[in-house]
Amino acid sequence: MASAGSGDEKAAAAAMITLISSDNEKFEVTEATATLSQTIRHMIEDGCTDGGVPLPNVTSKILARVIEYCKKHATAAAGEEGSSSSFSDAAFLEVDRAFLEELEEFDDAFLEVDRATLFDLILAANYLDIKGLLNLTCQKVADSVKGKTPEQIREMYNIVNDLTPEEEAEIRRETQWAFE
Amino acid sequence: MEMVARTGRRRRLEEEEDEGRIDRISGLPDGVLGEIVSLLPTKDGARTQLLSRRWLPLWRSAPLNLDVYDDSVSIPLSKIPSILSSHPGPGRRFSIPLDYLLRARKDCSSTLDGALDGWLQSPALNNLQELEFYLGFGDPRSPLPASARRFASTLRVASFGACNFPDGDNAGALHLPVLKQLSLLDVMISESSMRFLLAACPVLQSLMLNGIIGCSCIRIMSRAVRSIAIKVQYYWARGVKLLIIEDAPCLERLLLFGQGQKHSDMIISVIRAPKLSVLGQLPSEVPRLELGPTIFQGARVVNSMMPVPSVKVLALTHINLSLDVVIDFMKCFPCLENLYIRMACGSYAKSLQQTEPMITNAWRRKHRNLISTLDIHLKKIVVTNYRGNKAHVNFASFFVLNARVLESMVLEVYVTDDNEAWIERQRTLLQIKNRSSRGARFDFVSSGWRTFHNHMWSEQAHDLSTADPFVRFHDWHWSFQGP
Repeated sequence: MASAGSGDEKAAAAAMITLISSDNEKFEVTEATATLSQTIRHMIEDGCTDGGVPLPNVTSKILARVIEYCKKHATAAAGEEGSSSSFSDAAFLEVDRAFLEELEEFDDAFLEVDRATLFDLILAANYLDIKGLLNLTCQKVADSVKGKTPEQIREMYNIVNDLTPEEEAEIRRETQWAFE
Repeated sequence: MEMVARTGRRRRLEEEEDEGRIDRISGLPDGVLGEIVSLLPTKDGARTQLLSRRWLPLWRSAPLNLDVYDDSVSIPLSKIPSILSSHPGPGRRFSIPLDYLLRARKDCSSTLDGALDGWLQSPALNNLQELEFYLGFGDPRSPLPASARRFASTLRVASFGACNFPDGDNAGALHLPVLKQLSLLDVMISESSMRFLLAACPVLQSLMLNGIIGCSCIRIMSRAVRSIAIKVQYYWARGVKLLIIEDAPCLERLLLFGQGQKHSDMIISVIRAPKLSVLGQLPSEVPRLELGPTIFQGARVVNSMMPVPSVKVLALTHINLSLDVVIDFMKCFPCLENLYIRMACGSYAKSLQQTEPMITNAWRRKHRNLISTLDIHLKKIVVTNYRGNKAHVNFASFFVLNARVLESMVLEVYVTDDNEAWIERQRTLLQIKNRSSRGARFDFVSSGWRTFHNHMWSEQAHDLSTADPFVRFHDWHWSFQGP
């Protein structure tokens, strides 16, 4: 199945898609890169990408980062497909391994951003439906919250506590096990 | 002009400060916040309800993550019913791992099965994706809780411990269409049930077999599996005697756990696994491992008919650090890059040492021809229990002087009072100044805390995100920097 489709995929990979950010900047990307986004994949399938894809929720600054992520991970996906057809080739294995490690390093470095950018990336990943990017960024937020008290988390993310003392007491009563 | 620039700058600063005080996280969509909440450890997740009114409903609307043993926090089993009743479901993860039970043994003296079956029926766990349990230490083992079967179509990760897979129940057999990780721990299962179980997991990526009873032969034929880990059991009439990896085109890792005893007679035969790149840790005596015509007995090469170039990472257990043995392995695995050698210790190793011939590893004359022909690709060498005697120095200096692309050598030593002086002396003996690979690092580290927990094995078997599962071979306590 994969091998039958690979010729078509190669042809499709050459097709370019134009993405237009909220501040009207145009980005040309390959279809392979763009389709890491399920949202864009559906648009392509529906044939409504002529004249570019406007993304009114994503600024050029964030879109550039998202594309950087997709480009890297699209090559990874292509590598995986390629390797299954020539798995006995030791040289290929070497490339696979090195690439996976590189990808991990890339992800780590990619997450080295300020908090505002991280949230913008989450919103973009959610809107564009890019699963890998959404997981990566949500995990980063979860890790930052892990083991902290509600007070510490509020402080950290400027969350204003608007619960009444009665509501708080009720939460503590209903999920008492979480506060012991 | 300057004034304008300054006010502009001030305004920008103020905006940045405002930006700093804005609650951006609460503005994320419900789905995203729910995702974050369900990624948190159980208690942390539930406590996010207290953050604000915005956060209050999220925990209940996100899938429940119930792990009684998440790193630092452990939750008493007696709390499970109230946790389950405070959440409407669905479930993401439910976990009562063996390590937790070992720690809280007095809290659960009897087996869990009765209670577990009830817990698993809770709507809070509907559509569960990850299930891990160990039923307890009682004998005989209870059957797999019937209620576990209701998750078959949604489970991605499963670890079944100390249970019994009833035989002849093939009509009601589990079908696990999306299961990617499977661990079986101290499980009683017949050969035919094992065959059905493995055939029921079409997309399985990693399999850990840690204590299997009642199944002497396991055959693997899988187009998806990338990692197989098996515990080499003590001599035990009812353990696995034969593991045949018949066809596993995607298999990358074959991991062995446990110290094989001399008298156990396990055989692992790999017929087709062209991608196999990680192998180990081979115990010193058993099993007999056949990679096609190339045969090993424990950590020794029996027949090196056909080199296996796909193997890049190898971990061995040694009784005595023997250069000849390692060179034999390098001939079998000509593209080997990372080599880990764990020196066996304890009374069993001592008794074996006495029967072994004295090893000096003197190599200068013996291996002179070899050095010019053998292309050493090793980038990393890790040796535990390095004692720095003559044999050990000869062993290590062989690689110092001949491994041209070496990047790192780590020697684990015991801490003594005059360690620094001892290490300085070792550096001289090893001729590090004359090292063949100028960029190589040489680290002497203290012998770490070496209890291997089940979760570490499980991580090695299932975490496919790193190319080398032995990177965390030991937890290094401190180290001396290289040159």
